[in-house]
Amino acid sequence: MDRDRLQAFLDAVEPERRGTVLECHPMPGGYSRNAARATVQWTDGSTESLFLRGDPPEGSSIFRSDRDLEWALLNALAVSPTFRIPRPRYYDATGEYLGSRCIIDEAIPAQSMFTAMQTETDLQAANARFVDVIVSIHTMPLDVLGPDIPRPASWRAHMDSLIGQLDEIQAGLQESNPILHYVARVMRENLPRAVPLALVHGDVQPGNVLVPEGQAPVIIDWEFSHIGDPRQDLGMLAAITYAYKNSPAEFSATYRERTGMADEDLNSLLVDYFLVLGTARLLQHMILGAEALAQGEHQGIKGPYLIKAITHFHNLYLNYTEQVSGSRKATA
Amino acid sequence: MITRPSTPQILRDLQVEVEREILPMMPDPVSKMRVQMLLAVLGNCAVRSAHEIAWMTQETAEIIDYAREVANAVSDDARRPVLMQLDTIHVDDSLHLDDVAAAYSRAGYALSAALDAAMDAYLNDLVLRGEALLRARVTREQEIAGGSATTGR
Repeated sequence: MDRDRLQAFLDAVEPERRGTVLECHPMPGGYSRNAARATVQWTDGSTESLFLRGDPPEGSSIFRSDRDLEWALLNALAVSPTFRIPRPRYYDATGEYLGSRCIIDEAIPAQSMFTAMQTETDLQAANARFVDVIVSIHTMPLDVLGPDIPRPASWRAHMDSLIGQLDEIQAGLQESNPILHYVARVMRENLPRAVPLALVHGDVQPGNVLVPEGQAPVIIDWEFSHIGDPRQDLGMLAAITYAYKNSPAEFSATYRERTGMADEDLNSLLVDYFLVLGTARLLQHMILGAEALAQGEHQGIKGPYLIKAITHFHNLYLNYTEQVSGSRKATA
Repeated sequence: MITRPSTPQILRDLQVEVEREILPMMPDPVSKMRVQMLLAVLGNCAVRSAHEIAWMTQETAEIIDYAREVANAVSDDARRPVLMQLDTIHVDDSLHLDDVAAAYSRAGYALSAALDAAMDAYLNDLVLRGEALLRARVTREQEIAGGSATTGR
């Protein structure tokens, strides 16, 4: 994903516009994709900022997601009536030009909601704006997505599949994991009431929301998006960001107010339930990455580094089961 | 065998070397972040190498005691899978890491079977004790990890 490669790609896909890549810089820190930001000048004198996200080289990534599916999803979401995303611009579907499969979006010149929150004095209002963003995702009519985006047969089938991920993780290991075995059982025994399936972002957090001056927020990073239980996003959020942790009851109340969801369908305990299900796929990638490392496959530095994140999720998952077992303590 | 410096001391010294001498010379932020991750892993390995054999040995013994207690508290049918898993744990005098880890892994299966049996029989005290064993495991994992903050986006 360097300047020369991008130039060759644009020469191939936009031969008439004859763009010149002025700059193309890698961006550090992503766990799943390699990223770069580029500026292109077209022959009509206009310039355009682009954001590139490509698959890392084979064997150097812990997190895996489907670029073809993401490209299809982005093109569907570009016309979402409830929120805005960066305009998807190009896709090197084979990696022929950019070295690996790579999606190129318009780059939005704006700070993230996370950065904006650092200087926000009215955190309650800031959190409410963030809840509005989440609600805008979950209330998008699913028919916008068209027939190419996979849809679970039912809410129950979806939940069985999510809890089944905890079994899949154990099946892929050559050692025991009694924590996941126990958590999976507790999850099955405490299945919540069904709510309508919705678009799930998969990594919704203030850092993935851009806030251009005077414009509607722009939601980015859709690689883990899918149709599922909307509470998965709230669980994921609870796992990774203080936007939820600082005021969980207020956060849930605002979400219920905006969506009409009942208290028994969304409360602090249920958010923790969905914390497990909302993060199980990430944990699966990390644990199977560690297993691959144990079998001699080099995973890049992120393989051994993310072992500490496995610990983090083990801890969060047990936090949930210990809340459930609080009632056992009362009767023991 | 040379015991001084110990393995944790060597790993911590490597951390210092990389942090002071190599990290400042890294030209770009992507490489810098990789080296910071490497430093964190070296720190985790230092803690782990100092304790892992003792911790796994101790935890394996605690799980065996627990699983035996559950087996004694449940019906014959419920006892069978717990005893089957207990039978696979071969604790011998070997302190080689692979042997200790293998026994520890088999103890994990026994813990799962015992917890299942305790839950099926609604033996709340034993369920809570099994959960406490899992919590103790995570507490040690956290000691190795040295905090949950991660580097990167």
